[in-house]
Amino acid sequence: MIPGLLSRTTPDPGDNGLPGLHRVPIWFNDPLNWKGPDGLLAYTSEHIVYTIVVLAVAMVIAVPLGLLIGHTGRGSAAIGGSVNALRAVPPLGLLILLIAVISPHIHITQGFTYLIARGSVPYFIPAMAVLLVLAISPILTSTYAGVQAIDPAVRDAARGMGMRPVQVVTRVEFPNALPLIMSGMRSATLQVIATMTVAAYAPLVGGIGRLIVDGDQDLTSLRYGYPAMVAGGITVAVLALAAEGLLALLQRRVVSRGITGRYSTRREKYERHPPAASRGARAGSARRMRRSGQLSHT
Amino acid sequence: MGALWHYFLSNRQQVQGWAITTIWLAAVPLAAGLALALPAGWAASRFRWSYPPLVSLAGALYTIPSLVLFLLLPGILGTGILDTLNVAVALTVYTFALLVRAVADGLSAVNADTLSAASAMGYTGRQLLIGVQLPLAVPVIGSGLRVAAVANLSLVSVASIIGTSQLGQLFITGSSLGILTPIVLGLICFVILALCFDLVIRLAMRVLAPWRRAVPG
Amino acid sequence: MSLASLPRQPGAVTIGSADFPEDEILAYIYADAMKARGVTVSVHADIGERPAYIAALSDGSIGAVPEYSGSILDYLDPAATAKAPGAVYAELEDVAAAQGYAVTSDAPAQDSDTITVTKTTAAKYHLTTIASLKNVAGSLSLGAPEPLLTVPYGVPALKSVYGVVFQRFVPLSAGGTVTQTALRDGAVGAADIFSTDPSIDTYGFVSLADTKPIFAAQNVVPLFRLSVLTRPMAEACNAVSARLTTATLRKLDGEVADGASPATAAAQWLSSTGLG
Repeated sequence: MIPGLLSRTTPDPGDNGLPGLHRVPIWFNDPLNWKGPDGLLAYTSEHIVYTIVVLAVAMVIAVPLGLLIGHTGRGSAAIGGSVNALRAVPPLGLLILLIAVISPHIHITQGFTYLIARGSVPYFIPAMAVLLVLAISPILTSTYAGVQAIDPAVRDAARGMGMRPVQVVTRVEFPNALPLIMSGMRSATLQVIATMTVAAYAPLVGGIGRLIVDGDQDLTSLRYGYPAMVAGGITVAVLALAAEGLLALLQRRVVSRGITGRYSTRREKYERHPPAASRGARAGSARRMRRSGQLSHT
Repeated sequence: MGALWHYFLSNRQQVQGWAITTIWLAAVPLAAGLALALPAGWAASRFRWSYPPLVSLAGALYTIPSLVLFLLLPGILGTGILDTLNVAVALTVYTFALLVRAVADGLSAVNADTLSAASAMGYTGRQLLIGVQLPLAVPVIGSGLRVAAVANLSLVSVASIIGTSQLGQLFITGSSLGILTPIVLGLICFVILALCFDLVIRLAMRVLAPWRRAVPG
Repeated sequence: MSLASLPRQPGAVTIGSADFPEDEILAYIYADAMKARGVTVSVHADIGERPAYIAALSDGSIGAVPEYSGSILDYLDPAATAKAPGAVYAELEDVAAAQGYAVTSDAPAQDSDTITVTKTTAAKYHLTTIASLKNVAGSLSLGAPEPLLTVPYGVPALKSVYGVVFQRFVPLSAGGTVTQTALRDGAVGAADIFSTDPSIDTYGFVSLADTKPIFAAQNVVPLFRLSVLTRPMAEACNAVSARLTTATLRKLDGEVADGASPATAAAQWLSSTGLG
C-alpha cells in the first residue's frame, strides 16, 4: 500500500462529491498556498501586472482612435457596429481559435522573469490578444460617445478662440470627454480582471485563473482542487472590487471639477463660477453625459 | 463550409442538446432577473433614499466576476460542479444587478408633465405605473435587457472552464482533439444566438412601445 | 469466466467509448470484429470521461467499452494494489464480476502514463529508468496532468518509491501538441506522455523505464455488462486482443493524428489481420 493514499479521499464530501466550503478558509490559512512560484501571491501579482499592461495598451490604442472618430464624426457606424459584434463573440472560443491558429507559428521559447513562464509565449500572445480586444471595446465607444456628447457650442467657442484642430482635441474635447472615458476604462478594467481567469485556459499562462483551470482537473484534492478554485475566485472578486473602488477615486480626482460641478466648498464654487444663466446648461450636459454611460460586463 | 455542416450532421444530437441548454441558460435568467429587477428598480425610483444603497449593491454584485459565482454556488447550494443550475442562478444575479439601475432610471426619467397630465386624466397610482411609466421606460429597460442578453450568452460559454454542458463544449472538443471545425461552429452558433436574442428583444420593445416608431429619430 | 458458461447465440451490443481518439479506434476495432461473427453491434463514441461512460454502462445505455486494466481496476476498487499485468487482470476479473461486469482477455497493448524526456536530456544525464532521475530531478520541471500531483501512484510515489523530487510541477495534459512542444522547447524537463502517443516516435522522446513499478499495467481490455456478453462476442474480442500490441496502437494513433477517421483506421487494420 503506497503511503499517502488517504490524502486523496475527501473527508467531508457533500452530496455533490466536493470538499465543503469550510475548507476554503483552511486553504487561505496555509502559508504554503501563498508562497512560491505556484502560490496565490505569485498568481495575484501576475494577474495585476497583466491587467495593467493590457489596459495601458488598450488606452493607447482606443483613446486616440475614439477622439479621432468623435472629432471628425467619420467611421462611427463602422466602429459602433463591429464593436458591438465583438461583444457577442465568446472569449473562450476566440482564445481557443487563436491558440489553434497562431500558437504553432510562434517560436519564442524564452520566458521573462516569473511573469512569463518558459515556453508560454506562444499561448500568452493569443491570451493577451483576446483581453486586449475586450478592453478596447468599452474604452473606444465611451471615448467616442464622450466627444459626441460635448455641447457643440463649446467646440465652436474653442475654434472661435483660434485653437487649431489638435488643440481643440487635446485641450477641449479630451478633458470634456474624460468622465465618459474614465467610465469606459473602469468597465474595461472589470472585464479584463474577470476574463483573465478564462485566459488561464491557455496552457502555461499565469494569473489567478490558473488555480481555477488546474483545480478543475482534480476537484477532490483539498489543496489543489475545489477549495483552491473557490479561493482563487474569491481573490479575483476582491481584486475586482478593489480596482473598482480605486478607479472611482481616481475618476473623482482626475476629472476636472468644472465638468462635474463638484467643489470642495461653496465659496470656491461661487468664486470660480458666479451664478448665472450658464449654470443650467452646464448641469444639463453633465447629466446627459452621465446617463449615456457604458454598460458592459464579463 | 461543407466541413462545418458535415460536423454538425455527424454530431447533431449532441450539438442540438447543447444548443437547447445554452438557450435556456441565457433566456431564463433574463426573465427571472427582470422579474426581480422590476420591483427593486421601482422601489429605488419611488423611494429616493433607497436608490444609492440599491444601486451600490447592484454595482457590487455586478463587479464580481461570474466565474466566481459559478464556483461558489455548488458549495452554497450543494449542487454538483457540472450542474447547470449554478449557471442559471449566477446569471439571474447578474441580470438583476444590471437591470436594477436601468429600471430605476427608466421609471424616474418619465417626464413630470406627462405624469401630471395622466393623473389629471384620472390615472390612479398603480395605473400610472403600469399604464404610463412602464411603457415609457421600455426603451431604457429594453436596451439594458439587450446588453444583458449578449452578456449572458457570453457568460454561458465561460462555464466550459468548469465543464458545464453547453455549446461552449464545442470549443473544448476542438481544443482537445486538435481540430478547428467545432471551434468555428461554436463561434458561429453563439453569434447567431446573440443576433436572435437581440432581434426578439427589439421586436418585443416595438410591440410594447410602438409610438417610438412613429416619431423619427 | 469460462467461455463455455456464456450464451451461444451472437446477441446484440452497443459499444461505447471515451472521448479521446484511441478509445474510439478500439471501440470500432472490437465492434467490427464482433460484427464479423454475426453479432448486432452499434457504436456510441465520445461519451466523455470515465465517470460518464461507466455510468452509461451501469445503467445499460451501453453494453461494452474498451478499457485500460489498471485505471478501470482503480476506478472500480480504489483499494486495489496490483501493479504487474497478470496481477492486475486477475484482480480486475474478480472485482468486475462482483459488480455485474465481465472482462474478456486483455491485450498485450498498453497505454499507460510514462515519465518521458527528450533524447538530448536522456543523453546529457544518462537517463534510462525513472530511478536514474534521482539526482537530476531537482533541477528539472515535470509537466503532467494535475491529478498526478496528488494521486498515490503519481508525484507521491515518485518520491517515496524512487526518491525523485522534481523542482516544479507544471500542469499539462498527458500528450497532445502543447505538452510535446513544451518538452521539445525545454519549457519542461520531463513530461507525462501516454505510452502510445505518436509523438514519442516522431520526436524521438525517451520514456524512462518504470522498473519498480509505480504505474500499474494498463493493458487494453474490453469491459462488458455480464448480462449482455455472449460467447461469439467474447471469442471475437479475444481474437483481436491477442493481436493488439502497443506498437499497433501507436501506429493507429499516428494515422488518426494525421487526419484519418478512427472508424477507417480501425477497419483497415482489422481487415489486414483477417479478423474483420
